[in-house]
Amino acid sequence: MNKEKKSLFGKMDVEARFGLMRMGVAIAIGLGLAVVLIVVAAKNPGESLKYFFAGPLQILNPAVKSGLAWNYFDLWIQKIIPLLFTGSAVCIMFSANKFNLGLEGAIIAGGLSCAWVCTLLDGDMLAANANPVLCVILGLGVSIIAGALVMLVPALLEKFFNASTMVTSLMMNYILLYVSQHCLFATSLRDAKTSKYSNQWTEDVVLTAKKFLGTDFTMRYGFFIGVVIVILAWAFLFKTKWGYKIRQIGQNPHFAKYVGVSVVSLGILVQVIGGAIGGLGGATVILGNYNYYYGIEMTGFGWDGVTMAIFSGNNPKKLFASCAFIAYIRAGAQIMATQPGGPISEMTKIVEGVIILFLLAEQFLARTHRKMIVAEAKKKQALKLAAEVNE
Amino acid sequence: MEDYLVMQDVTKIYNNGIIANDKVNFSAKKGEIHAICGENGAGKTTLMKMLFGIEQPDEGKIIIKGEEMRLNSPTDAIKAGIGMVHQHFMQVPTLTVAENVTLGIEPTKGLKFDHNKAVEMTRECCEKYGFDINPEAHIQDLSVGVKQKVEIVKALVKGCEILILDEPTAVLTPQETKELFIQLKNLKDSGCTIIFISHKLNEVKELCDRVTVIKKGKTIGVWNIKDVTEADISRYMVGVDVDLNIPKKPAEPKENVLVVKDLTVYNEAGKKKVDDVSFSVRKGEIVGIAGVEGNGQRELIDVITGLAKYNYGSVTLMGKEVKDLNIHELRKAGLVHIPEDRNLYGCARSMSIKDNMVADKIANPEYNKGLFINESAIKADTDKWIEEYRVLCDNGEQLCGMLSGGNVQKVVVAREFTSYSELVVSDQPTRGIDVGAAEFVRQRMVEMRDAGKAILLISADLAEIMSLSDSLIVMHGGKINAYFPNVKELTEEDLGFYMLGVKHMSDEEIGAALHE
Amino acid sequence: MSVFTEIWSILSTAFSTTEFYTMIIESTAPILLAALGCAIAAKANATNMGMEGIMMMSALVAVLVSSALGGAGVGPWVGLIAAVVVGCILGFLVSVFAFRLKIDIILVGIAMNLICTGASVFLMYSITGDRTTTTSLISGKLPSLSIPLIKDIPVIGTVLSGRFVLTYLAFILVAVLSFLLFKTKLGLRIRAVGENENAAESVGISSLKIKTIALIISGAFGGLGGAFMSQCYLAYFSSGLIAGRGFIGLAACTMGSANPGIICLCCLAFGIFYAISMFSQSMKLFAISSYALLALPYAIVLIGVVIYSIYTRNKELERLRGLDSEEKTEQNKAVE
Repeated sequence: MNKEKKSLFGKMDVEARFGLMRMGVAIAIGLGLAVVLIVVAAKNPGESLKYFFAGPLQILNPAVKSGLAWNYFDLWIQKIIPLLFTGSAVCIMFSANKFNLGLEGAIIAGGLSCAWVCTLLDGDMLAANANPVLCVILGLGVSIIAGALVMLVPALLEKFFNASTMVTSLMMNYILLYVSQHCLFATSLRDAKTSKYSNQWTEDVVLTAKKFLGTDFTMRYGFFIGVVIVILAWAFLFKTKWGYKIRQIGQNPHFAKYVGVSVVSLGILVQVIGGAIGGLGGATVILGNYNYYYGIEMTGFGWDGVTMAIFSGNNPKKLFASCAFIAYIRAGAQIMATQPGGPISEMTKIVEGVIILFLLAEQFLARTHRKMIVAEAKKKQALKLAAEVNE
Repeated sequence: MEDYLVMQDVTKIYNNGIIANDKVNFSAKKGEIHAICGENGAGKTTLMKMLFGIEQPDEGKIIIKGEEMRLNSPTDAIKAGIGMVHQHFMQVPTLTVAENVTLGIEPTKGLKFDHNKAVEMTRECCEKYGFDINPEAHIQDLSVGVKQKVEIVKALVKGCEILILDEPTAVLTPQETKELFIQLKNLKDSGCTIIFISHKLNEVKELCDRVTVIKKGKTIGVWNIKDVTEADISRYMVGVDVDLNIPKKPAEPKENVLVVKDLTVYNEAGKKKVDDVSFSVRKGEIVGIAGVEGNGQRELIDVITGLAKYNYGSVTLMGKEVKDLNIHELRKAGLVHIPEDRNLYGCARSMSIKDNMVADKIANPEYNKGLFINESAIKADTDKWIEEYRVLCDNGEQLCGMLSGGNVQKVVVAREFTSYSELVVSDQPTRGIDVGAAEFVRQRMVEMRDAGKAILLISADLAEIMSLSDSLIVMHGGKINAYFPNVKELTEEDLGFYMLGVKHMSDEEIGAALHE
Repeated sequence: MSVFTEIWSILSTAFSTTEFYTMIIESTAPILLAALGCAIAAKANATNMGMEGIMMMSALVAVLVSSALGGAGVGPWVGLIAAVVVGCILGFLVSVFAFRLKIDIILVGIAMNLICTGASVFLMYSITGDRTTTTSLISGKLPSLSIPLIKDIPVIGTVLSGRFVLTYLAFILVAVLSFLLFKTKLGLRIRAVGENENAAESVGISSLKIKTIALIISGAFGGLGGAFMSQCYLAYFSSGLIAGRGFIGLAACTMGSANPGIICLCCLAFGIFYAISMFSQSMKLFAISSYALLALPYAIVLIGVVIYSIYTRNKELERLRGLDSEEKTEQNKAVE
């Protein structure tokens, strides 16, 4: 059994093996750091560690009340959903080397425009009994357009004026934050009775089914939308000619130009697609959790996308595992934090940052890398020699 | 006079196993201008890099003023009194001349950088050696000629006694060159030793006292300049060792595919690089372009392949003006291109062999099924090509960057030769690859010719260009210097004369390159 | 009331109130510190995206150290020094990851921000038990400075005198950084490395060393900016305290092409619009949304960056055109 495993690992080429190893070491360092932080900060380290590492999977523990255990599990799923969207969006943009950081703004725009459509169709403004499914579909559709438009701005500013996408997209985030507050508080979107939220729409429109089929499980349809998006992003990047050209730009822009790829227009396209996915993600978050719009603060969703893209090496196929992992430690940390004396959940940010740095460091483990290559070369040479002797 | 600088039996072997210098001997006397001549890739630059501490010799000694030296970095070399003027200037554009000149040895007054002192140092040095430069001007506002003077002053101010100039006149206008020579002679008179690397034999003859010729990493000999003619030097430098003996029938050229007419191209810095060039390439022939590197071939090829734009003259491919088409449309019109730098332009090293082979034809209908890529069709074709072009690899999924240079080149050739083509632009197709792979690539080019393609070949390998081409164009100073409709009648000695500008053809003979 | 009359009423009230002017100065200072920090890094060809995180971390450390010393007397001053030290350390770490371990410096910055966000809240919670602010600690403020003579001038005196020590320092540092960059040996080397690394290396300057120094100084500026926020602007640290000021600093640095004087003007422009948007929050507005006004300073930065880009592009085109004509005149000379 052990031997077979080894041979499977041995079959991969050196680069893939080294990549896997480096990821393993980076994650081990990150989790090690997490353990240290918990031990230092927790009143009851044993208990805290248990919740951190096994919190979301308490459903497997018969001793815990099932309602609570399902809530813990649900927290995990809830945290995965936005990551699937932001991760896919940034994977596509980074594949073409586009450092557009405006995803945050696209998410706000998506959430807001979706809420606007829903209140218009379903709220008391039209007082009509709109079809909830139609409402959701229209809301999501509009959010896609809104997100795409938001990202188009920095992309076009770069194309026409050569303005740094990084800076303009960061500023767009703040502009959209305050524009959304304006829409929420100073327009007819606002619910006159409460001061915080928009008009409500009926529960039916919400993308979540609590007590699904009578169980304690909460069904989140947003998760499935997210999964579909990841699959589509993967298919787009790796199974279509456009995705192929986009990756060419990212791997070697000179080469892409030389074989006749239109580098500029595809660069704009990826940002528009990234924005569309971000917008859809924002709408899914709103529709999945609330039946009203609230002023989304800078939630860090945009930065999460960058984290996920780095974790998955710009390959959406690997997003499932990466999102599940990050969401798991975030959910675990949050569950841990709710226990008396538990450390604060923000520690996961430290862990994530440290893992990113070690994942990216070219020189980290460089000596091991070199050794692996030399060993491989020697092995090949030995095989060749043996073959020659046989002949 | 005593030998001031001696490089004795110096050998340099690069990591990839290429022997760049094989027991090279070189020596220079105090106060002489000593030329080093050799073809591209003969090992001149490597030799100078070792002298300036950028590379370290594997064997041999460097002796300066009778003392053996180990030069581990440019700093060591500067301390030993060596200065180098690189082909690409090592300058900071927004800084002033004085700041650039004193960079690394900045004068200070308390906390402050003493700009006045720096200006004074620069001015003093300029006056001493007769350079006319304003020390307070900004580098970015200067012309190339003045920039080069700054580069020389930069070395002099650090007390340099041996000055290396790597092809200094390549970027200069004739007037600037003349001025430079006067100043170099002044320098010589004040006791400075100058090592002058150049292809331009007339300049070598005019300026230098002695000449060392290097060929294929070995020293051929040292001569006093007055004892040799330009033709002699050319003969020593240029030599075809082996007859490649490529079996091919005589060409049967048909109609024009590529027509270049009165083309003039300026580079980014505004220097004229291609000067009123006209020629054509016909179906079923291989037209070679020979010339010492830097004589306009690069710019000409960039224009033909759509990588650069041009304003004067016309280039037409199959009757279409090239500047009106983007690269995608150019390729559709029948251009394929083996680029000079296969790692920068020719492939994406982090993508698979398969992906690299279909890079230019991924949008073709045969590789798409509806919205998606037809993986099985791509795999079938690329597997076939890997076999046909004898790419040594485990399978098509292997990363291109893992292959040896020769095999990367085969991947590039396979991609280009399997695309729709009318014109094949083949830029240094066999540079740096092993003998077997090179022979294979050449054979393929002859096959393409016989299949009726027009082929434009650019190569620094004279054996290759002489045995592959049916007709040959020689470029010198951005112009076509000679045209040989029949390469068979050409001797290597003659080719050397034309490449190095010793001989020139008449306008009429050159005009025959354009078939109308 | 129409939009225009309302704009007029905002502007006329604002510009006739002295608080408005102090508001401009105080809101410019932290951004200016951040931008100057980004500028010295930018001159060495490094984008210090981690400025936000550096400010966050040093703001917290300033509060913690100051409160540990009682929050009065020398406390805040030692806190300030601690903030600068933390800034230097973080700047050094950025340089290690970016230049020694060879990670894209923008990604290092993003990771740095992530770590600092997490670490500052984690530390705060571990020490105070509060997850949002450190109000439970007495950390005190750095003193304000009243300037003799100037303080007696009516109106101008109240604006220019009595500001925080760090506010004055921020504006003084514009000149100091200009001096450092353009008048000292280190500045010369930083600019040389930033513009042409090979040129610097060819005369024996270690570009790694110079870039590391630049990032350490950049971190020190970030430390001052952080301390300003938690020891001048407010007297405590909170998780949302920095609120993107590091990023705005980066934008201002881009707009000012890393030139301290121009950066100062850009930051003042931001400060003016920021003050307008803040000032108008206290007014009763009908035609204009006070929320939308909050977006105004960011929109100004966006427009500023675009204008700057157009300007640099035109300048570059002009330069190339100049070279072209120069070549031609030389040719004409040759013909003659």
